[in-house]
Amino acid sequence: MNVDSKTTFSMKDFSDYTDLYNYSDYNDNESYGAGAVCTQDSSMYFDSIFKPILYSLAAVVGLLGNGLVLIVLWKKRAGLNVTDIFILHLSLADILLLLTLPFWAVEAVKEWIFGTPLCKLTGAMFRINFYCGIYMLSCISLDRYLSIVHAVQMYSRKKPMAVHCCCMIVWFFCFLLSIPDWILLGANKDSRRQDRTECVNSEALSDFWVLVNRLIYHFLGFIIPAIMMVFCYTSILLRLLLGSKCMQKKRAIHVIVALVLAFFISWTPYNIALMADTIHTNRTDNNQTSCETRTTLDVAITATSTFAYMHCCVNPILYAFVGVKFRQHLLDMLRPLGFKLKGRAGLVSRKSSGWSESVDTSHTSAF
Amino acid sequence: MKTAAAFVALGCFLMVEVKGKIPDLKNRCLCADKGANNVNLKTIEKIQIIHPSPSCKRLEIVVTLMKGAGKKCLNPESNLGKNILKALRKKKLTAVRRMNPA
Repeated sequence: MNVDSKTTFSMKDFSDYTDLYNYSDYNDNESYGAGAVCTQDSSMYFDSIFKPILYSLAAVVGLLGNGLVLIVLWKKRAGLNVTDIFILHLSLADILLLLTLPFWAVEAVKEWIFGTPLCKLTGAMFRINFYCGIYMLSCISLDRYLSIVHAVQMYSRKKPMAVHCCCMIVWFFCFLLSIPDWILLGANKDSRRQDRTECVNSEALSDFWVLVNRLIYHFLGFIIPAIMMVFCYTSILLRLLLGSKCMQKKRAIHVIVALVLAFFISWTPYNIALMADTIHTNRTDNNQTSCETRTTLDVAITATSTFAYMHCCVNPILYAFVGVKFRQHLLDMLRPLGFKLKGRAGLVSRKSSGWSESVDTSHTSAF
Repeated sequence: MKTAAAFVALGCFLMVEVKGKIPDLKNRCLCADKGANNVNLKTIEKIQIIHPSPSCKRLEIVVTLMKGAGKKCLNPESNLGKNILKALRKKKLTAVRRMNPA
């Protein structure tokens, strides 16, 4: 916390400093018009309205969906298959990510009122689960690819611990990714953001490090997992298209297309917004930039990132409730709870039957 | 064999990711550019020195112009900017000396 982060002087303070006038280019008008001041007020105002609404929506919907997945998995904990275990870890990651959203919403409306320890914890939780969710999706695609295309059972069904261990490795690496957050994050006042306390790095990085950072994110958080998913699911699709065209396969194909589309619809806009910002920052480093463009980019980054977090809410439907067995478990679980819930559960199954009625059959066991 | 290969592939895939940080981290300085090299001193009402903060690495000088003519960034590396910073440093030293005599 920098005490004299902003110092204001009136011109009277300078009355006895005649050396101020002692400069050569006094009449030099070449830079007339330069020196525009861009405040972050409008993008902060946008954040303060947009974030609480969308984040609470995402948190409520996502926690409900993923919570339900966890409950169903807990009920059938004896017979979890490989994909179930990956889905379990995916749901855990999504829940932990969604739990941090209310904190960011409060920060956007007011300021970071939770202190430095909670800032480090929340920031690191966010980072760990942000990457972990994406890697779990990659793991699921890899597992499906290996079991369908190469008929390799990566893990024996009798040893679920091996899958858990694999997931723990992913968690551990995501934890490593969050180490900078544990060190650098803190509740810091920012004189350029209306003197608000925010959960951020205490010091700004140089443009170069921001660029390095962004490239690392684009590659590790989007491009590599995306290539992996596209490769795995394309191979699966080709394999499915080669064989006989029964109803079950058709539905499996629909599910795969939905999975891949959902991933790209949620994450592509955010990546494009970040790239646009990177290009804009680097191209106009020394020239005058318009404040409007900067505000637009800030708003775009907030809006598209929120859109990306919404992916957490769609995961339970796309990965868990799309399976017949999964829905059956859910129905079995809800049945004793009475008539009202029974009706609602029926609605759930009818809705998702459009995705796939019987995708998790014996020959596409991974689904 | 294939299982081992899958593990190695997964391991390599994970090994590269040990770096990385806040994805939407960005620099947002108040000044859109380096700032004007000079401003007519007679039109200045107020000078603000804004030190590096979480959203900007640079030291910035923002001047408020008289008669509601708005704010303007002054290039801290211009002669006027340098002189202002020098004058302020002197001023601060004098103030400190006055507060702690001897």
